[in-house]
Amino acid sequence: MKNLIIAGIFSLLVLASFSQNESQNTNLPSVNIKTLDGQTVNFQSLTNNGKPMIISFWALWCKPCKKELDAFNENYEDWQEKTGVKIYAISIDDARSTAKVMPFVSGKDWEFEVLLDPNSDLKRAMNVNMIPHTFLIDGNGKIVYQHTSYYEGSEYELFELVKKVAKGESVSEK
Amino acid sequence: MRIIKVISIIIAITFASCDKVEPPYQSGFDCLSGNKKVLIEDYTGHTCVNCPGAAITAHEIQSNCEDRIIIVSVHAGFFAEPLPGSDFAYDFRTEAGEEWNNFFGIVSNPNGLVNRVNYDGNYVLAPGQWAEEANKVLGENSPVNINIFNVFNPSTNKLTTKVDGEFVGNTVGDYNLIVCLTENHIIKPQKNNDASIGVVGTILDYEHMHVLRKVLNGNWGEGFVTGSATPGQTITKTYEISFDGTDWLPENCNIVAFIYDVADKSVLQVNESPLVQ
Amino acid sequence: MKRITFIAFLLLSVFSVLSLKAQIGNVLDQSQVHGSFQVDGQYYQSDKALGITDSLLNGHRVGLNGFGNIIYTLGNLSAGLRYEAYLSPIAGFDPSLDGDGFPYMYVSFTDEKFSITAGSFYEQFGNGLVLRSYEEWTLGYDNALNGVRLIYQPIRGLILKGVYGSQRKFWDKYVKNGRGTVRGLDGEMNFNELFASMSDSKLRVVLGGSMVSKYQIDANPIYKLPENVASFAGRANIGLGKFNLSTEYAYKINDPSAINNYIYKDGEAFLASLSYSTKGLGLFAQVKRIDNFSYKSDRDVTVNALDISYLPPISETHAYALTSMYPYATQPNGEMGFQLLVNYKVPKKSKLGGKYGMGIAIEYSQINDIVRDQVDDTTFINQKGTLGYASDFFKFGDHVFWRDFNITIDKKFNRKWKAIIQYMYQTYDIATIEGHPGEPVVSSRIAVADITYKFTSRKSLRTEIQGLWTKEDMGDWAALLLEYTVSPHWFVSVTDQYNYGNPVKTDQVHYFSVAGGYTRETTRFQIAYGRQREGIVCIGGVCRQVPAASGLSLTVSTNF
Repeated sequence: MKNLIIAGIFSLLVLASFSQNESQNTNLPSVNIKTLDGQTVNFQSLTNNGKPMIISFWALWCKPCKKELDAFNENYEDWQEKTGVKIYAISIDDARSTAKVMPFVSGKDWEFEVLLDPNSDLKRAMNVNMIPHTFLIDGNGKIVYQHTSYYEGSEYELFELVKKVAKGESVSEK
Repeated sequence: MRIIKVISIIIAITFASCDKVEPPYQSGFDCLSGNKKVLIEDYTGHTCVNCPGAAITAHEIQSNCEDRIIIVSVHAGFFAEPLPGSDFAYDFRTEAGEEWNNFFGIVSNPNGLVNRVNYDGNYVLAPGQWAEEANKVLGENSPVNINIFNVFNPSTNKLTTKVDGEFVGNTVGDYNLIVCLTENHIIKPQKNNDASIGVVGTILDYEHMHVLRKVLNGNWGEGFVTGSATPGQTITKTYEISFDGTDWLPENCNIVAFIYDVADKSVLQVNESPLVQ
Repeated sequence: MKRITFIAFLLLSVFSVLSLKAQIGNVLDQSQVHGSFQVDGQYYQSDKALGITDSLLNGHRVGLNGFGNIIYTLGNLSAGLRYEAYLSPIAGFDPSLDGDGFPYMYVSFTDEKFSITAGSFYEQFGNGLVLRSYEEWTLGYDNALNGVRLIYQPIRGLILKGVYGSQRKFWDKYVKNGRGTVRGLDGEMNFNELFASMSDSKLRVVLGGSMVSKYQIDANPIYKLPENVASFAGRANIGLGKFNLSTEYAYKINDPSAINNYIYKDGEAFLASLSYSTKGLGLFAQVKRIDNFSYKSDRDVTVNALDISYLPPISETHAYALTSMYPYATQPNGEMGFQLLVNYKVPKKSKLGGKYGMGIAIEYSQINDIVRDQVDDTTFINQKGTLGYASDFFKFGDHVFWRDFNITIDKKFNRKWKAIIQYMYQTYDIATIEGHPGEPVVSSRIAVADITYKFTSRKSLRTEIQGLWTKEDMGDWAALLLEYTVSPHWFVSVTDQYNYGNPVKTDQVHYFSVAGGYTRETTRFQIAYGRQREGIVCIGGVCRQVPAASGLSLTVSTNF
């Protein structure tokens, strides 16, 4: 019986979630994450002066994630020039490998900022099931698009959307 | 500054909740109150490396209350499977053991049952929990005492066992009696990872104790009390079993008999008696 | 039956959502509801070559793991719950997971200085040595704390946390005098934020300390068991220019348990890592020592549950099928190891680097046993109900559990071609790591070539060619994978793993499978048919044994 009630609430919430106005209601959660040198920052405080941001979840053990970030890195200079977009790569590596993220990133020579979510607090708050999982945030700090998995060439699709967002256009794929 | 005060109080409390135990680490059982005996069923297997440790645990408990704790080693499940062509080709399994293993939901070894007591439907107790449960049972009173009379006839190679249930209290409900044959001192290989017991790896001459060989009266026994029994009443059952065609050594065998509640399978009373005095 | 209910429930939600979506406006302007769900299903069939018979399957033809997650936020308030169903659990997951329900529910309030959570929560102190509650879907592992958590940031640069609760154990309810309770405190100071004089310093200092205590009743008539077991940890993260030092030391008082064979020795854990990072080069070294540090909230439990401490393994997590065939798992009763790592990027436009540069990674890790000495002449090493043993903090034991040397090169040749080449030499002690005494130490060489060819900007073909060579265990393996992707939606792949070197002729089996998937935004469908090799999946310190299987598997995942 208890489960039934909870299931009822659960379905109502699911309903509510689908019915909400997407553009208004997708703020970033307030969750503490860490910089590579161990400082704590609140995820909500990340901004890019009204320009779009890409938030990408990854981990050292995830091959497609690293490919995606490599692809981002290759295009980053170009993308920034055209749209002013900023990329944050959030590593969900746990204590096993958080300390290895910084030397790895240096070895990769990635130019975007990398942050740590060692106990997956942000991953949970953002409802990320699998990685790679990438979010596109508009200039008002709202999530306007997200996708999971990475295939060769997906970065171009994303950049098309970034350009739209930078111009203030809607990105709905439909 | 108030924060610091609060924090130091919390720290003090946390430090205080720290139980440093000084040797000797052992304490004792209370074997004198109650008349209920304890049945420890040790579900085990010859390729289970942690099982010798569990057998030691059972013996350790038994050594505290020699007469009141009865062990049956049930070889069943994955780790008891015989591996032909290896050191572990011998098949210790029994039909009853396999059925019990499945019924009680023993998914890994070592694990066990103590008097088949269940908590919220969960019967399985880890070896570390046996002593605690055994101690609880020792303090309880049973309305029945079991007496076992074994006669083994070497010329016919047959055992006749007579089991008496002597009621000393009122009993309501349906109860079955299970009579099992167990064997000690079976020397066969066993996997092990506890250096204080023997070589880590395979102990070739491991001494298997209390091995369940056969249930004499069906996997779930047969009816013993239907409805009720009253003090002074004695119920007797007699069984016969032939040792022909087996490798069982009568001088190492015991009969273990127990009466259990059909509804929840919990053991009301148990006893053990050797075949050859 | 439950399975049908669960699926019906999901479908119903989706349909009602679609029909109502247009009609319901925003009830509460500020409120947000988000969530996600995933269903992993498997259909099993008998397979003679793998030894899977119909009687072995015994009617268990379907495994289904699913979850649905909902988070509701309204300003500073947030509430969430998760439904989970294992009907029945997919092969290789703990059978105790069988069932369904809501294992996770919480309400929390968070503002700039203060946060309180009631219900289930995940928390980690430092590296997790003395406390980490987390959840790993792919392992079926969840040791969430159920209780209360407070987080307080009185000033910038100081974070205080307090937790109190009991941990999740599959579907078992918490009962009085059952599993123990856990309470913990943690403080972390960031010197650069706390002290104005240090705000621009090149020296970055973060210090932290934790205390955790568990309480479990002692009802054991044989042993005098400690009811309160406390542990303490101190940690530091110090950065100076390109160098970064991270270290943590933890100490635990006597904690006899089923894992350590009920010995009364105190426990210790130590981790330290030093890294140097500069443009194009990263160097990393770490050491670790674990001595009797299994810390669970039920001392009698040996299954993968109720861990309070998290002991990270220091081996690399390898990602290819054959490189991850023998994964290391932390030995909580004792181990000592180190790891060295070099990441280098050969610059673009150099002779070796070519137009795009070239990445080189070299790693070496080794983990040994600790040294154990008798505490006195009459006590065996690790004898139950004694102090167990004495151990020299600085001495490596002779017994090697794990050794791994590997080198990885990745290079993009031109717009069309790129490749990753990996070679490694691994030593893996099955007896210790998998707890099967008598089994061999596996020394293996493994090589991988992972080549991607891009037909167009959206279509590409990836090929993995792998080989594993060893004289022990199952012998030599070869593996091939072809994966064709059309971004951003489609992929199909074909894989075969072939155990051609198995000393048992009949076990020289091909593990062939085909898979396909479709992804649209965050919704992903994946279907696979074929054989699945017996293996071990490890994430962090926890591993799951996956039995060999044959059949169809399906995954659906989405979030909203």
